[in-house]
Amino acid sequence: MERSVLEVSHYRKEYGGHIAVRDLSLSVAPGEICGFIGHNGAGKTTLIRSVVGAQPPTSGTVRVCGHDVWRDAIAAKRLMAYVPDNPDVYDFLTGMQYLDLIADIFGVGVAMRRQRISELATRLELAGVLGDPVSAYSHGMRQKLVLVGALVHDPTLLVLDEPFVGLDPAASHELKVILRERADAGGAVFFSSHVLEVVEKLCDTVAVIRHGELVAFGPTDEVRGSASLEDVFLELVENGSDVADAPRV
Amino acid sequence: MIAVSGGQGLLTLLRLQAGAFLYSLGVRRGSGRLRVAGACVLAVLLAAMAAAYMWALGSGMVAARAGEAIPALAALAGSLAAVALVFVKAPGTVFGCRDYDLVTALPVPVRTVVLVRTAPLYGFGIALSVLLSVPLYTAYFLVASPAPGAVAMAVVVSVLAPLAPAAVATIVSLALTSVAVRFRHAGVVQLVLSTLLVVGVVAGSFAFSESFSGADDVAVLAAMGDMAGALSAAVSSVYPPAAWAGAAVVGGSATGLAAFCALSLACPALVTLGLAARYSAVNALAASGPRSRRKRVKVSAATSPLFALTRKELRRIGSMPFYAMNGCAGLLLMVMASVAASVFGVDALLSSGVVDGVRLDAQAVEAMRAQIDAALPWVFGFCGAMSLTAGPSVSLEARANWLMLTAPVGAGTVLASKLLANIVLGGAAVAASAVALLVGGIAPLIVLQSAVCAMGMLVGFASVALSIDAARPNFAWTSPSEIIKRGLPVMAGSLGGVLVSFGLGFLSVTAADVFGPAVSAAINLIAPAACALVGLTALRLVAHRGLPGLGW
Repeated sequence: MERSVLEVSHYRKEYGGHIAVRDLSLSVAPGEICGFIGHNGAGKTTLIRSVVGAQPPTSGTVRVCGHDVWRDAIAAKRLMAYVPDNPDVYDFLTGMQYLDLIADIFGVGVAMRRQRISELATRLELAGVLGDPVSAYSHGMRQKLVLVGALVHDPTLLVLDEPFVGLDPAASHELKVILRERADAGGAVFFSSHVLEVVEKLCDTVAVIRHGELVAFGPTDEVRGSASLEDVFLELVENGSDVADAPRV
Repeated sequence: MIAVSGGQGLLTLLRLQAGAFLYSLGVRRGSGRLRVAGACVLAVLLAAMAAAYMWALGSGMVAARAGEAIPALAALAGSLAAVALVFVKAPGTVFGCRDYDLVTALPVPVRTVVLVRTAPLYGFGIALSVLLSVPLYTAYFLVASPAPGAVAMAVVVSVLAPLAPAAVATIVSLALTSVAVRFRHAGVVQLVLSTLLVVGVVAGSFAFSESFSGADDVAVLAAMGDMAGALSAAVSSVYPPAAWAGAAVVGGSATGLAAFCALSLACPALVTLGLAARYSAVNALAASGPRSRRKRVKVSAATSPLFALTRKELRRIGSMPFYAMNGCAGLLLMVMASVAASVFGVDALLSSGVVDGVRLDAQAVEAMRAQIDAALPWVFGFCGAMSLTAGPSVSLEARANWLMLTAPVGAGTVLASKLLANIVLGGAAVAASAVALLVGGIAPLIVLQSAVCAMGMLVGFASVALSIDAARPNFAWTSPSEIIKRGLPVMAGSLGGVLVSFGLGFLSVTAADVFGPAVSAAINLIAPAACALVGLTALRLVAHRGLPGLGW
């Protein structure tokens, strides 16, 4: 069996006495795009932040290509990239200075970074503004900049939190194409979204979380069944369908 | 639509300002009281130190028969304190505010908004002025026989003294900021402009004083007949309204008092009305960024993560005027002091003026040679300990903290880059100062001690401040001043550094007296290194624990 790129096992996160996520396990294989959906406050960002090493789990493990994100943090982080829900980056840098910083941190050589930045910035229509300070960027431009930065080191796992928010239609389309290309090249993508149509069309697998519990996880077709993903989501999350009835792989 | 009257809006917005101030001190829903109590104790301690110093200065002046210059000096001291306060606080508080859209969207008159933003500055200015003036006046009135009403006039002058300078400083600060923000390296530009302004004001005042007297100090003393007259003339040449204040308190001049009151009340009123009339344009001016450069940009040469992160930290300092001004003021002072010592000589500087009311002549300076040599390095130690750009640097990551948390580098690398940026700036200032001192003929051993003191204190206390910030960062700040000025790391680091500098300086001078210069030199070389070692050890412990983030 092919080893998972992302493997979350019995993940649990508590804030004080509040349980944000309880006993969650899922995995994403190479070549897969996994959509992570749930209502506001369900625990999506909590899990994502632990996956990328920004906050430790209370218990459980998160592994990227076999590397424990907390015990072997640097090796795990080298293999992944993160695009947060709010693209807050350093205002005092220009776009290119930011990309150079990321490339230096991930050890990307000059020739490689030049080629990747040029290609990605052109595709996302960012090339003309890379000399401008980030403080002058709109939300969507910052989102694109963070996306370029996330892809500059060619990560095996791409983790994105609400990546389509703030993007114009053209950039949104381009991002979908990029994500599919990454999966087709053997990488893995794990992203959260409230745009169920995108998840339904783009994702190979889907995970649904409700009040910190995984209520469905598996191939998109199986989770959706004969209904639309929106219908299934409303049934699972808003109407509180029994967890035991949910499809699970 | 609900409209709020000016009075109601004023109170509501002032409450909001007070709430924001308490929030910045760490008060959260009943928690953080200990921190506020600590801040109060600290404020009282600093106030007591300042009052004691001013009392000693006033007593010295009275003993030197220069007591009648005290009223003018008190007005000048209150004015300078207010100007310094405004330069530090106005950007981000009065203009260039992050919450500008939010506040101006409220149904409150714009002049009320401006008043709410400027009133705390005037209030703090008045408090500082009273704090500095009361000990001076007390020393004066205890020995002088004041004219009827002189005490009341002194109270009025003390309260009003900072208002006009604070108002003018607000406009000057706005002008500097609006020029600086147009440059990519706004922090550096702001630093340079502020330095030029200070140098210009000081040089201009002395030039004016020289042209006014047309003679040296001794001749001035002879011409004026007494030291008080000479001092009053010098102070008045720096700030002419101080002469009106002096005339009112010393001579009971009603005209002087009226002129001083009119100026003090008219300036803030005019500035407030002027800012209110153009508030939108003023904020746009102060918040505008550098002009767009639509040219082809190239990737940089690859470098190590540590160097890349250090470069990023230096760019942050260079881009934030407020941060650069606060973090590098000590370094600037160090270079200026070194250049002054090089140009004029330490002996000439010490014997050129009145120190704490005592005039040192060349013979007295020569007699104190060993003590001066022992103390001089700690002037540099003091400057180094005041220059802690690393102190708030973890908190400054704010909402972009995800970048350092998800970067494939250890916490040690991230923290080291922040310290290294501080050391690069400190090292450059120390190197320039050392060269200036050597060129000026200062003994190489003294220069070496000065450099070691400056770097040792900087590394030690920057590490301590950085450790505190890394252990408990404040990512939720709304204005950078919350962490750059009032944050616990900077406060603990710089205050600790100042106290240790004074303590070790005292120890060094005492050792020079008791055991000779060799022991003093040993202290000056070993103690700063020990400070640096202790700070680095604390930082290493924090780095070993890992970087903090939400949910840790």
